[in-house]
Amino acid sequence: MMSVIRKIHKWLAIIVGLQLIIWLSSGLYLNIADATKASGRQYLVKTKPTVVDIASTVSVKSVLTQYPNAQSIKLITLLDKPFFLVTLEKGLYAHFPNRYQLVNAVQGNRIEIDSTFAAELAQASYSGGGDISDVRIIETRPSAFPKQQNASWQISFTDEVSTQVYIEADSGRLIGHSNDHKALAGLMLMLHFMDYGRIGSFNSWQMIFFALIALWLSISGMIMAVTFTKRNVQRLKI
Amino acid sequence: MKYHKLSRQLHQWLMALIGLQFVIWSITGVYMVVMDIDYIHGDSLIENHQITIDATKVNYTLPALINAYPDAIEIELGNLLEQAVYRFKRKNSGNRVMVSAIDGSLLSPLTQDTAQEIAEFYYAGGGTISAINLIAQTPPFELSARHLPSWQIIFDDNESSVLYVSALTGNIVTKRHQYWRMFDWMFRFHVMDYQDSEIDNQLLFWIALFGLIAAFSGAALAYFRVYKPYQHKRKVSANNRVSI
Repeated sequence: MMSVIRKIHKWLAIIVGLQLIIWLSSGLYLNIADATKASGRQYLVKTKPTVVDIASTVSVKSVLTQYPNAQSIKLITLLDKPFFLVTLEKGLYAHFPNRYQLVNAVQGNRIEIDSTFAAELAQASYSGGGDISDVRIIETRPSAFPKQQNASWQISFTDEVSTQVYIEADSGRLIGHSNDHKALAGLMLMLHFMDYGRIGSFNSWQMIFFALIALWLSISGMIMAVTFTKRNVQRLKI
Repeated sequence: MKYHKLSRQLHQWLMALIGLQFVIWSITGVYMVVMDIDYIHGDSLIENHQITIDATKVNYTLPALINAYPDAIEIELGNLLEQAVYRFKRKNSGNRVMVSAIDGSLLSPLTQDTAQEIAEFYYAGGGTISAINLIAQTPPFELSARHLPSWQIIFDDNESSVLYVSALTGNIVTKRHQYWRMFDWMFRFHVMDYQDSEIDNQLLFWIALFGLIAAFSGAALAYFRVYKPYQHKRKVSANNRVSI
């Protein structure tokens, strides 16, 4: 019996062994990583919402007649200018698929966030000394924010930690900042979760398969460890 | 032979000491990867209703609102059940307020009846409400303090589902069921945190470090037990072939 357990333990360890070392090293990294650095927020400045001069804005009713499917209309400010953010399709969470339309709150016309606007929004949220080196649209799930399903603008800065700012393309919402530290922590998480498609999930078949093998490995190992300990305790008594 | 014995002893002794944590890691790990994360987050517990705003019911204007609440920020026109409402924050106090979009009458904080109606409207499970509590301070672990005050609506379904409805906005701020609570426990055991659910604790560091050494010694052991004998067999059979 024991020799069968031993044999299976050996061969399964060969299958899952490398992943086991990856789990332990990436887990160890996440344990000792500086959480503040890994958050990617080194150069993030929080903008405070301001009171809007309502007298200058068009009426919400006129926006409603333009967008009869509106689920909600939120008065927001981007670069200190007022906008109506019209939600046309509401997801369960902000990172789930949502459909928005931005409307200039003073003129009432619809606004698309182009690369220039996105770059200005990113700059306003950034306190570092770098310059913008690249602005591009990412259709879904940027690797720094793998759960974010809506399209986003990625704005890259030339600082010592390679800050990247993500702005949601439809709404202008700041998704967040990323940098080299966050990218490394993200890589470790990806390895820990075996999330090779980078979709921010650990419910994959390869993960479940390897986890089950690891479970068998640890239980059979535990049985052997108990026998090993018993034998050594007996030897010590003699 | 010396290194073979060393790696075997290292692997056996280390695992005898910390092997139990490997069992805990794999049991909690299996639970977390097998359970669908969207299910764990209770996404199937609530209905994602799409309710369009009825423009004919919006008679209260933004200038009127600002007149009544000059420090209103983050103003949002939306729905409370099927009624058009404005939700906003008072800049000076930070308090959230909800008023009717029909006539501007104050709707927050919600009454128990409205909270119950909202919970029943969004709840997608098969149970009925068994208890409702208003939580105004000292929230339970599963409710963030920034959502206070909230109504806690408990259902009698198999999963012991709970919806939390903000008493100020009428929004479902969070939800829980027993498999999510179990998931939170699994996570705590996985990162060996017995204090505050943080991953950066000393205990985890030392066990993971010794675990890594144990895993490497296991890899060395696999080398001596599997690769070496295989190589030896090949050499022997090659020699035999030459002799023939």
